[in-house]
Amino acid sequence: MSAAAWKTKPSWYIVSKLDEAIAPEEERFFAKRMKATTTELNTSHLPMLSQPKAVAAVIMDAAAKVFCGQRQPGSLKRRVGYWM
Amino acid sequence: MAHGGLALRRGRGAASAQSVKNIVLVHGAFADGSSWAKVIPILQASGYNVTAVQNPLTSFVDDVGATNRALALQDGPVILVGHSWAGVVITEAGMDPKVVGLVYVAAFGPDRGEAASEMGKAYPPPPALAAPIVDQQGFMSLPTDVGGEALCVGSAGE
Repeated sequence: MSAAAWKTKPSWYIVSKLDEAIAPEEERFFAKRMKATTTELNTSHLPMLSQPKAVAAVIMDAAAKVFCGQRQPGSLKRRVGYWM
Repeated sequence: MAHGGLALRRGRGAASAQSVKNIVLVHGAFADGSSWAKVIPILQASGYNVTAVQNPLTSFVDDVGATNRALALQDGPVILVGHSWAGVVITEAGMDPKVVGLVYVAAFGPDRGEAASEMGKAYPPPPALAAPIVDQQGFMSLPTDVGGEALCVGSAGE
């Protein structure tokens, strides 16, 4: 791995509280370290199958808010500038 | 819907003008693009352009390559989503300037220099991955009685 994108880009994280493939505590560690907007779901390792609406909601939240400058406002101008 | 190893789906309608319209979904290990079959129609119905990457799962570099090819096809900024092992993939592929946000779904979120094989060692061993089957070529699979059951706890549906 050459670089970690979460260090420079806003991140969202879904923790699966009943996960038996990656420990929920480990997921919380990743989410906290990347300062992610975090959602915890009462589900297994496959939330996109058990709770697809909740997973889609998090993805759409990311799509709607990523340009709002609410997170990492210092990088907003750069991102908008790239696309405008 | 297959195109160059990718499942391409274009939604109709309009996500709001200020929001990102492209979503790229990356599946995890022991899985494929159909992992996202229930999420894709919800996103499409809201007007998003959705691409589900089909990872070869032969190596980290190969999976990043497949994801980068999907990103190259996008016509604007992208939200890049990874499940499980694909958290490692999007952490690298997310450096593409088109990627403006990352969504980790029960996924690894490594830092530079951290290997996925090392990351779980500080935590109790996950039941789902306790006894993988390794064939003579080194490819791993999960036994259906153990892996399937442990992966799907709570997955009966909404």
